[in-house]
Amino acid sequence: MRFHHLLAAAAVAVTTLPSLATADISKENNDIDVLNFALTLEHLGANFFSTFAGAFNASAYTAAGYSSDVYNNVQMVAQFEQAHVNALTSAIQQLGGSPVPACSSYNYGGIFSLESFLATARIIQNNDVSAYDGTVSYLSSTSLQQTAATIATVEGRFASYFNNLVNEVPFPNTEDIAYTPYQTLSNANAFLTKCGTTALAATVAVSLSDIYSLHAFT
Amino acid sequence: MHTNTLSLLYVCVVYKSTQGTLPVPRIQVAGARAQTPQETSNDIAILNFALTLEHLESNFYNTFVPYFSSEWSQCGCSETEYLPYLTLIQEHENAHVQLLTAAITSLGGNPVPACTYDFSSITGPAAFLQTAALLENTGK
Repeated sequence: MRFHHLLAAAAVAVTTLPSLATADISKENNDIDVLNFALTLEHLGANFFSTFAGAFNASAYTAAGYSSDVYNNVQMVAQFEQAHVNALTSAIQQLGGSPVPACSSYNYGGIFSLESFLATARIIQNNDVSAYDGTVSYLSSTSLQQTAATIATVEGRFASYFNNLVNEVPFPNTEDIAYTPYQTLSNANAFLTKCGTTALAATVAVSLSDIYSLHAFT
Repeated sequence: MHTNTLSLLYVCVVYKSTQGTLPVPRIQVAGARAQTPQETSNDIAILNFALTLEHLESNFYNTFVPYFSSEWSQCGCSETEYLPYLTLIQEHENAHVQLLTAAITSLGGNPVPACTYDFSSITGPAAFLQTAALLENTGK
């Protein structure tokens, strides 16, 4: 249903090309929406890692057969995810936009062990890689594309690390899969069920609408 | 780190310079319209820049993965741990060369060829692994 609506909106957009000035404003607004889409994912990542980085101490890792380096690396991942939140928040504010807030709570039901934390970390990181791969081209600003790319490669390093930790192939694809925003959010949806219809839902709807509208122009 | 990478590319760069085909990307903003010939040419130059790095990486793994598989114990590394991954990386790098070559060709461009590379400083598996880490961080 949503897709039909978006496609209809896109069709209208194609036949009513805006003036140059309007197009510039539209592109800037679109960039804000794309960045807020990424920020939605980074809020989840930052919350997830800060929650579970603190839930298991160093001896829990060694007791489970992992090197003590893993504990330290997980702490660093938590710090980097928060840094991504800060970077995107700052970029959105520089464009005059309103950064989407974090959800008041996330749904991590079922994660009780270190093993299930690491397995979930792997899923979240691989989803983030494909999320950036799929949306970076929707940014109109080349400097923002570079910002997104430099975050995306860090997510890729995290994804490889967690793939390896859970004994999966660290780099399974020759080229990573680029997800549409819809695919990305479908994969993350289980964690976002407690976000309700707050800013998240509105932002995601606007993001999807504008991303697909812009796509029709290009 | 960049100095080392440049030294590996040195032979390549000299060759390209004399041919006048060293790709120098000029990044431009592509708007919401059909590409101009200049923009297509710009994209081809950027893809050829990436292809130059992928040629280096693919040649690097094609050269050293088979060679060191027989001398792996020199570095005290676990062959069973490293070799399957190195072989997979080698396959991925070769696929990247093919992908970029196909993209450049589809734009009507001429893909840059691979060079002769100077790997003389890599004398054992440990140096190979260190150089691999250096190249991968550059080639992203």
